[in-house]
Amino acid sequence: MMRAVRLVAIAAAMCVASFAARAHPHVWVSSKTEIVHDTQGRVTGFRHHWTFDEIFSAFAAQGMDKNGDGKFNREELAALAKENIESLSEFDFFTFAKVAGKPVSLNEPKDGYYLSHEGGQLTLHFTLPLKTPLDARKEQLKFAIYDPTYFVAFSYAKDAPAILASNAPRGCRVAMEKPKPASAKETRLSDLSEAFFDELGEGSDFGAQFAPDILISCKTS
Amino acid sequence: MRLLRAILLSLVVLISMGSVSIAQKSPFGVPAPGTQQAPSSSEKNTTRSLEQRAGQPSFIQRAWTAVLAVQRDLHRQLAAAVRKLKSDGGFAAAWFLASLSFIYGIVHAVGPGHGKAVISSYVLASERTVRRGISLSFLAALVQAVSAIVLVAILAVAMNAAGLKIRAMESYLESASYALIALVGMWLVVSQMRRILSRGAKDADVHVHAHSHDHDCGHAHMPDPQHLKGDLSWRKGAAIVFAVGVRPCSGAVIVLVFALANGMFFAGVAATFAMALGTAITVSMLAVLAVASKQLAFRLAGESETWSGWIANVVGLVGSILVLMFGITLFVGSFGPARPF
Repeated sequence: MMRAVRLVAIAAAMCVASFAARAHPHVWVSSKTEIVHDTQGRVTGFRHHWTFDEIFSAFAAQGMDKNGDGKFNREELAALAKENIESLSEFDFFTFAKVAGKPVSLNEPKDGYYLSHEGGQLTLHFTLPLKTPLDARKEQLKFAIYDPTYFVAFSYAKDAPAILASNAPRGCRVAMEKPKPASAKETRLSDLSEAFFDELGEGSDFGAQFAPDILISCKTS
Repeated sequence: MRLLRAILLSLVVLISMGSVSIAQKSPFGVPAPGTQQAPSSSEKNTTRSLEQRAGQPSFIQRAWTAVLAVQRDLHRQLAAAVRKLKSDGGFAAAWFLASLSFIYGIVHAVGPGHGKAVISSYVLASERTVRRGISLSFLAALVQAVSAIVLVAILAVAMNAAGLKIRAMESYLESASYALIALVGMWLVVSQMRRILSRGAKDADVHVHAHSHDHDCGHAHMPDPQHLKGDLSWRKGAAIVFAVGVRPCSGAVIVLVFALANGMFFAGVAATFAMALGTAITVSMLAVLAVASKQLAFRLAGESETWSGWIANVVGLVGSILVLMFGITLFVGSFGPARPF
């Protein structure tokens, strides 16, 4: 009997460990995105503003203060920004867009990207163009930002995670997709610790594939 | 009855192997999460990821969110602790930073890259006592801490190199560590094979093993108990500690640079050691699990020489092969594209 208990305990420990092993981020990013539109009201790309956590910011900015004034200006950070953008392309810019369930192709960012440094935190600004502009009045566009390898923990900024450019057509809006209720069985399980999870607040932290989609939709009038 | 015992034994042996593989989510073929592997084809990856995400929030998803939130919180508090020590100074602030780093180490080591899988496989193959398993885990964590401190001291403090340079050096050391692990694994496999072959010859000699049959003292019932002790075992232990430890603890590296940026390098060094203590605890828990399940298997084998010999051979060989395979897989996987940040 004791033996059986021990075996079960070992098995349980294994499950916990293998699950937790996946959550191992070293970098935390808070993202804000502006949906860029052209003059015809079509969506042409995403203008991202990704703010890094303090510890990683200090690490990345190490040795970049060339003039030694204790500040990091855009020029000093230019090489780092270039490096970031170039290697981001290997990771699809961590931006996954789709229309009607199909992935939308994105182009490499054009010039005009840069890093800023404020309050000990770096922010990477860059525009990710859609390969072909999309009319959100005709098709609903969704996108999500996450790292499938779990190395970078992305979260949408609490305040205005996504906004439409001022020239967006009237009647269009962005919204975070609300997670649908879980299946009956899962609900029963999760009820056990509902209060605990609720305390965490919605939309604060999402790991990789659990990042909710951001929807761009327009009222058809 | 005999059959039942055979099944039970196989189960326990399997579990002891399992206690090793948990440390690495997917040891073979697919890279473990956190090892640096980029999606191969962007289009395909996008489709897959989006399909995966079609599932709605489940218990796992919520638990996942909780795990991330805890880590984020620790990360933030660590930054706050360094700043507090800078502004307030004093024993209380130092103690706060140390305890926080310690907890960070425990949580952090659950992720890949701290040698849990390798150490546990090694322990499974070559160690018989819980104490040895624990000491190896602590030594490996200590070497990883020293490696991180030396790396940051040379590159950041002495040369004021960029963060990207430090990251690049880190990935060289990572590859070197994995190559060394593979070499140690090879050594283990060869010496296990030799042990098995020579034992096969000796078995004809009669069973005059001089071991006590006291099963309550916690000692495993293993043939040739003297064989693994002594110089060779010590050297193997040192080799595995060095191989694992060459790779600096990545969490420690960024915290050290952060501390340096705040003019608190030595606080960072102290935090790194506190972190290593935490890391060691997590790693040794798995090593102990490996040794304990091995001991359980031997205990189940009871008086049977055949069974204990069989277990020793299988566990020893599989553990050694695991070390070799982890080394090779991790080494190959370490050549992915550079991380953007």
